[in-house]
Amino acid sequence: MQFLATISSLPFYILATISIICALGMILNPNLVRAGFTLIGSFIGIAGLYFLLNANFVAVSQVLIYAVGIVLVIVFAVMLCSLKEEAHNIKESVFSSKARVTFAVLISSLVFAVLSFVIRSQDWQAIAKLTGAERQSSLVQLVDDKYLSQIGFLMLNKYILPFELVSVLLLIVLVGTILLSKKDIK
Amino acid sequence: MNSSYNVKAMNSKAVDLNLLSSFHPRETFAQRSALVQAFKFFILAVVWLSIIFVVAAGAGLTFAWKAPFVFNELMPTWFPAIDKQIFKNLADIHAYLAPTVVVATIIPVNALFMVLCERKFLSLLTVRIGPDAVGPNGGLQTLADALKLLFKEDTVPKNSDPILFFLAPALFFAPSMVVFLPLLAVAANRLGGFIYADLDISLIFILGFLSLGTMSLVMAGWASNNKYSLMGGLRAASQAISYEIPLVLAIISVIMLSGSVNLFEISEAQAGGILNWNLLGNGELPRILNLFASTNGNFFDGFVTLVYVILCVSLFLIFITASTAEVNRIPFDIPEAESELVSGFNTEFSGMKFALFFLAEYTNLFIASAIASILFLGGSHLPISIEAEQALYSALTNINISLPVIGTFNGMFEGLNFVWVITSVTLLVKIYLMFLVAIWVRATLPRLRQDQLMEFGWKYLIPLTLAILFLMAIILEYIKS
Repeated sequence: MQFLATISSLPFYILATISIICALGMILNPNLVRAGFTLIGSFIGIAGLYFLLNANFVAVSQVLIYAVGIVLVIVFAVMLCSLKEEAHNIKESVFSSKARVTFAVLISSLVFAVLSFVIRSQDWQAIAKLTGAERQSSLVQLVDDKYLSQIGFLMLNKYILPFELVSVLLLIVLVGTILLSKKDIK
Repeated sequence: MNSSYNVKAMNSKAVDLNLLSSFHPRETFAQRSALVQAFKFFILAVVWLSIIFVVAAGAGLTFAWKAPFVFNELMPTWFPAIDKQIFKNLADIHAYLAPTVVVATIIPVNALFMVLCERKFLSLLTVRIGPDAVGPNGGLQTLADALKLLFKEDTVPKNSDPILFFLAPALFFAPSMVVFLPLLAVAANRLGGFIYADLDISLIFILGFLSLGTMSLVMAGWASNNKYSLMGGLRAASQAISYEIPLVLAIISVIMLSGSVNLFEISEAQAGGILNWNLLGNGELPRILNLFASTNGNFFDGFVTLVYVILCVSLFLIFITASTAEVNRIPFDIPEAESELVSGFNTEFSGMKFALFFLAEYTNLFIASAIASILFLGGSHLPISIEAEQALYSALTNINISLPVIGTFNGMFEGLNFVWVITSVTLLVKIYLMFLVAIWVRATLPRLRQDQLMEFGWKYLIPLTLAILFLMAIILEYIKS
């Protein structure tokens, strides 16, 4: 066990490298379909990181939701838009290329700032040292036997509003997709 | 499906049928009775299943069986100069590797027999003889086929996407390998190193990783640069998305029923005879008798139980239907419909790449049958009472074999546990029975059209499963109280 503990940081670096390379490939690849597949690679790398952190449910959800979801995106990319036309259209976009890059950098750095603030605000070293009873009362409840039922319970009690809002968002996306794909018929 | 005899004679212009039969005297199906054919198939199945079992168990035992003993007790006495810690690490690595090694050995051997079993059983059902030239009763046919595929030229079409074309078969095969691991924990009854393969959420894990296969099918279709392949890939995606919903909803009902997402625990909850299987309502079936004892005023109880059992059986049927669609089997094999799409997503693949697709498809079917037998058919438990099973298990644990010849190795044969033999053989037989049902369906039903498939999935199956989920939640509240 000790030996495995010493080499356990190796999978982290492998998975992190895979997900970063795939994410870069997604951004830099001009081919829409290839970009989609590299995005799946990135998500699977992140799922592997979740497995390493013993968050099996989150990891499997990541695979289950994103992998199939991205497949859908690729299918839409194939079906809804002709790839040559798409490449042509990007040049005639409303915003200039500079403005788009600025927007992208702004939004991604904002997300990064928020996430790192949230992660930084927790004292992880202290939480790791907590015992069972203290852990129950702390904000972050680490993995225990019945965590799956806890997730379900919290999702349908404390966090019912965000849960429902997500469903509404999905409905909006569904309606929007139909509207977009029926544009020609109108 | 017909095996061709004497290729030389077939290829020459003048094929004399009498000459052909003099080279290889053929029996028609009518010359043998169906019973003899069935018996021959049974013998073939028993031989092949024992080969599969011995290969898998041998691979597993080499790694999982007393590996700690060998490394921690024996090795230090043999090599006293080497640090003990190294042997400890080696023992850990062996224990962790055991399930992976079993998966790597069982998948090819198992696929060999699955293909053969399908061809032989299909020929039984369609009144033919099937392959019978290679080996006794055609028993080595698939081995020859596999060797042929290995030596075939690997062609890559012009203008294809070389990277994705190379990756697609491997990525289709990888999830089925990963998904195999949690099943081994059930089969081996959490023996030794196999406890590492037992995830707490193994059922969701299997669902998640099996759905990754769709991605590879789309990838294969896109990379081939062939319109038939692309259509096959798109069809695979649409089919997987449509039929995953009823599949998952049916599984959610089963999760409610057994209160766990761990396959081992679901299997444990069904111990003790056929009446305890989830298929027949997990032990609540006798309450139906309340229907006839109306004097006690328990008519309502009996009626609810009847509805509950009907729901359980229909859940099983829905699960089989949806998983047949998920693994692209006839009658839902529209992604590779030969009559419409040449061969669908795998049209352009040859040699080893095609073999990988083939292997993965059969492995996926095996996994789907395994989940069906674990969720509904009692998993790794024999259809006998819990007491009898416990007696059997306790007779098989803590066995000491003392062999004077082997000296220091004797410690290896103390405190042995052979429960895994019973559990894994039971599970294997159940899986193959489910597989025979799948072949039976294939022999019976014609392929659906794309629009029929979508209509059946969205308009009938999903509303039905939703209704069952709703009813099941209410009835379970009543039944379990």
